[in-house]
Amino acid sequence: MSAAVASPPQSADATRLNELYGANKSLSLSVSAALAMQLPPQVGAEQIDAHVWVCERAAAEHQGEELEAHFEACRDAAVALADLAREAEDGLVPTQRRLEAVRRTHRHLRRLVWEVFDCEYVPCGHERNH
Amino acid sequence: MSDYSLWIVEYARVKEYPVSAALYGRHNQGSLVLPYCYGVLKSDDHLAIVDTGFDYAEFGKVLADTYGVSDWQPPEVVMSRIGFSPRDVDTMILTHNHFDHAGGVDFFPNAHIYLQSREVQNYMWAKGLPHRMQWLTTATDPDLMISLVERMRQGKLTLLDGEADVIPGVRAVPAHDTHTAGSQYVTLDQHDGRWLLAGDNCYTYDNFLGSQEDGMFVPIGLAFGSMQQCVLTMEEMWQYVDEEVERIVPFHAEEMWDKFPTHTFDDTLRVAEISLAPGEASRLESLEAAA
Repeated sequence: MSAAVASPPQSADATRLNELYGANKSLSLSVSAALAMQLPPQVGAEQIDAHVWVCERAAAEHQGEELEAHFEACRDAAVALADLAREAEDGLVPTQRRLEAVRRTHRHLRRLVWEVFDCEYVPCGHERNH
Repeated sequence: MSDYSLWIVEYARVKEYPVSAALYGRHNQGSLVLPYCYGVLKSDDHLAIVDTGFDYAEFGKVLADTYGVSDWQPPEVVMSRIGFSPRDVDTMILTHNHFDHAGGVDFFPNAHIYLQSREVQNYMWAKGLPHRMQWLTTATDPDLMISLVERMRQGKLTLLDGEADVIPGVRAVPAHDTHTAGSQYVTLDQHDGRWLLAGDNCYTYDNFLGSQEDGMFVPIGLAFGSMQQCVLTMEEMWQYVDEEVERIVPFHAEEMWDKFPTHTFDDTLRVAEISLAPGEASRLESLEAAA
């Protein structure tokens, strides 16, 4: 389908949020793609831990601010993904509990990010500005 | 030879879809109605679907509302119109992993999924993309991928490496680097000839006929692969059906309803009966009789 274009960033904080969301999305896609193929993730728990650390720092820096819940959602999604990746690194088939945690936290983050930015999805060519 | 009955069921539509999104380069030419459909195949041994539609919840709802997708109905409603339950589907072929084609996986809990390996593998490299390149991940969502992992856990996911017979008489053919990295289309060669379910390798018949009736293929409006590969794939499809465009079944073509026996339901959604296996009674005739 098509291409939604995100709104112009409203602030440096919003830009940061969008970057962390994008990073979480691409890491989640990479890990889940590997799991679907029954391959070890190309991205290790160590790399995701680094992402967790960045998200934790962002969440701490924005406590009490307008985007506090958004950055906390980044942190929670990153932690859930790191747990899943760690399980996969140990050669274990992912448990439903871990998968569900990644799905739930990603959905929560996505919902909050889409309050700030337009949905970034590109459904089959449906650009809104034709 | 296995014989299948084949129906195309409409589950939603976009009432104003830009022409240029369906036909490459046709900018400023207004909009068209874009049905959202999937295919249902039935033999004596299998009930299969090609694509799933999406769930009007979570990101499916956001996308539908953002892009003007209306009149959505779940598979429980759409499938029951021709006498089937989503739970009875044993085989699911996904032409590609976009929300309107693969966003309804969870509605079909007993189906074994067949998808090109490349469609999944493509996202393994997404790990290191800088923010400026995130457009490359905008066509899918981890939600879709996690549904595939869950099905893998159940032993119900087969990732295909190229062309393969998925079930007897139903063949998945790769269309790599076209609309998506690992797209595929589906072919049937049976008692009444060849049929080809296109996925998003074409949107309308005009992709093949040329929107200006000049006989020149016009590729779709969005390719994550290349336009060249889109046209080369269209030529493969064209040759497979021996240049009979009506044997290509698009999932987004409003003209399709005029080419095949079609029933329109009270909610305006439609079902087209493309082919009936020997001995299979028409499900549309009974619907028409009851109407």
